[in-house]
Amino acid sequence: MVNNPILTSKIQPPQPPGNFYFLEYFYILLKVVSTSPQIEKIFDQFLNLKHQYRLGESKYKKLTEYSNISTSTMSRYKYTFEQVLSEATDYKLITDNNGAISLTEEGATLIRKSEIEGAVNFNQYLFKLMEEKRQQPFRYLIETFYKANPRKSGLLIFPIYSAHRLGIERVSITTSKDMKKYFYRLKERLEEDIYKHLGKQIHLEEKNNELIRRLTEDGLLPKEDSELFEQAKYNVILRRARDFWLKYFLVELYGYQISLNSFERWAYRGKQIGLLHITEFYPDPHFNGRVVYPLSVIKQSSNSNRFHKLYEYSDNMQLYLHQPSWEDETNQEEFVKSLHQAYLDVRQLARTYFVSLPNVRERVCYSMKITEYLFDNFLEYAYHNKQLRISISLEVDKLPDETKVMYLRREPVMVDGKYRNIIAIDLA
Amino acid sequence: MDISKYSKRPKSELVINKGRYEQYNLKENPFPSSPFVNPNSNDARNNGEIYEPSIREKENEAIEKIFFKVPQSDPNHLRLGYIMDTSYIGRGNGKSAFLVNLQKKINQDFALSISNELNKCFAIILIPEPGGKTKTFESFIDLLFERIFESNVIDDSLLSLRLEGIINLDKTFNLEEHFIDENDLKNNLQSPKWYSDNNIDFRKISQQILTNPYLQNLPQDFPLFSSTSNPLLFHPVSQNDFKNYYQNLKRGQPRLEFIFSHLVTLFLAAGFNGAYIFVDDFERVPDFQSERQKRDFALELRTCLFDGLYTNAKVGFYNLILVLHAGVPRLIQSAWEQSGLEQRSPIFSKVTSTNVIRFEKINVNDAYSLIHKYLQAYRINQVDTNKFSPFTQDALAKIAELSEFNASKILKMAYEVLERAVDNNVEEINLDLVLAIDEASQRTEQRQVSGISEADTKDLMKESERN
Repeated sequence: MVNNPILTSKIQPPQPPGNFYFLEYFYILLKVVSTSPQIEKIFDQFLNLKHQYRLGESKYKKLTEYSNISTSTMSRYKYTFEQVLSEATDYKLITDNNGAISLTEEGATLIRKSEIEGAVNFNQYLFKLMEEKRQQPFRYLIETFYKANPRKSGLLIFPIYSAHRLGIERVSITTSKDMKKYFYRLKERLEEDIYKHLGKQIHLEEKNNELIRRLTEDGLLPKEDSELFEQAKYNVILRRARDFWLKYFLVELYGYQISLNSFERWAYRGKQIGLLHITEFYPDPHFNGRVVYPLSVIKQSSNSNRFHKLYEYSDNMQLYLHQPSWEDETNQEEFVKSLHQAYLDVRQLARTYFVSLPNVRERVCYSMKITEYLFDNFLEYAYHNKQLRISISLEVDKLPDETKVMYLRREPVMVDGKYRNIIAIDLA
Repeated sequence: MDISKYSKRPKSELVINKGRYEQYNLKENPFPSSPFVNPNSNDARNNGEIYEPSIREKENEAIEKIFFKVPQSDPNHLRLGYIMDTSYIGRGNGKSAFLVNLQKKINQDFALSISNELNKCFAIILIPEPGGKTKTFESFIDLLFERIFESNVIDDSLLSLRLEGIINLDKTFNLEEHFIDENDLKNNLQSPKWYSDNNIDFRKISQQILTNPYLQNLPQDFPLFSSTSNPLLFHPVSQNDFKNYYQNLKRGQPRLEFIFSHLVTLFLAAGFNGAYIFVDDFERVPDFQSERQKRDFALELRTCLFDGLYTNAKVGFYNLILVLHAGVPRLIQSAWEQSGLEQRSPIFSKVTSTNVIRFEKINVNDAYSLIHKYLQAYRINQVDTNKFSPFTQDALAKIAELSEFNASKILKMAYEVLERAVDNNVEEINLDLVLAIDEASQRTEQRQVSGISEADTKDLMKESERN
């Protein structure tokens, strides 16, 4: 039984998107189709550009490339390619004439748009196609944000806590009972989070029992408390538990009637358009997991000059993006204040003078409700403004490429066309 | 008249308390509250003056071995080297303090003792300006000239030349008889009165100077000649004349000629055979350059240091040592490779390059020495049974560990811990106290930093109603 009568959305849920995150996939597909109609050549070129743009299959960009691609990897690439191909065909950006693929007029316009007006405009144009052809996925996402957590202006949390984060050492989890102890602590933590972030008191006892029952039925968790579970299955069990709760939050708590996968793909696409922000790295001393919040509103009208109208729906509702302008001095002041505060906060958490710029960005984006690219622009203006009472030092330090990580989990901050990844601020 | 005022005392008598740090046998808190080296500061705590050489012994040995001890006359002596920080966030590891002290050590006797009198070199530190002002090679050498000027080495060279001229003309001339000390020598050799008082004909000295073989190919308007061009007026040329001359030169080639040929000639004539130019925070140059500008910069550098027609390129007078933080080598890699500088002085070579001096993190013993040095500098009485008092040794080890063995963080934490100890009137700073202070500061920090649920933010629905 669901013990919280949250929302049953009146809006029809959207269709799922193709199985990929990056909107750049559309661009590289159109680009290669414009050079050749032949599917094999298109695929080859597609792979080249995919590597050049570092596009991976997950929501993170890839930093390393396998030197020899295995058959299974190749078939995954092929699958992604087909997904992009099929979605682009649906949007009538390309057509297939008995095996000869070509750009439609709209596809050709879109490439030009991207090259002249840049990626942001390209993504916004795609937004319209997706909204029209997939039953308004973004409207669905945004309206449900606000309904699901009106007191925090649409902020949704998706907690993820490993055993270690809850103070339990991995080596101490060997029996069914140990795992249940972790689940119990997790349940308590989730209840606290729900109360804190959503203002609701919900008991998750039954849900937790359901999780344990399912894992037992699937043979992952032994029935007897004292029995050891298969250590090799440790990660599988944890992943199952994580997804179980993520799904609980998505469907039961927030009322989304789409799969976790579909939600993520739409949300990460929405982030690239500038409609919302989603991250797993908000520097929060207490909370761990994913947070999502809208950067746009859907309403009949708005006269505010901080909002930019992006789209009008058939029922006359309008979608506005929150886009404060640097020209307005109050925004400059607000940005500098917010940047300084975020720096102090992150510095206290990190206890170093130079701190991670992406972490500072997370905090500023949330406090001002702006997109990452707007943050980059504002930072560049502030960096060059010599009248400020603060002095900003931006440094390169090591880039992710120079470390051993495989994926670029956060887009680096660009100022003056150069990557910066650490920042220090002093009062002048 | 009331004369009792002279005999009466006030009822409220002042008590002379102990100084804030006196109970620890310290004059002041010896540690810097903001430990970033500022060479222009008067405070010994942060101008690099309190310095413990043992910490950087390895780096010092390396740089002496590959630079200072190699004779400048060796045609293969290195002209371009790098001090590379190996720590992730390369701040506060002590590089600037290291440079300030190297410079001091070299300039004390122009590296004569370090090199066993093989070399006579001066050292200067050049820090590119922040904000991209030192983006072009031209602005880089303008800054170089400014630093050379500020180091007074031109005046020193002129003095050497004059002194040599005097001695050449009068073999019996006795330095000790004429000058009390270095300052006296500098003042007198600049003063027309001294020459006339001692019956020395300055014009003859000037002419004598000009017979120096190095000075034969200088342009006629070179400032050195101004003292002979107007025989009616006595005017000993000074380095200010050089500054004016430089500023009136056109940018580009003429200034390059001046710095890399004419000035080098003057230094050679004055008996120097080289110079060490330390470029701190070098990334401020490439950080603001486009790829093309980086390549141009590297090419110019190569021409001036290695294969141009400048005197400097022919003899290898200036030795540049660039200080690079982590992440900087990548910025210049392709420019270095394309310009051929990489072949000349490799940074990226897989084989450990001899041009690179690696600047490592300090260890716990270094931390002890560092703290001891600061304490010592502020002791009231130098006799102390425990050299780390009021700190216990394990407390110091903890401070070092909590500061991730970063020199500037260790000093800053020592400052804070000592302040806290004074506030709480603690006699000894032991491990427990350091842990307690660290824990307390972590607790307050956690209280202060809000999570996303309490963070200030906007309600966009309301915001969109506003005009």
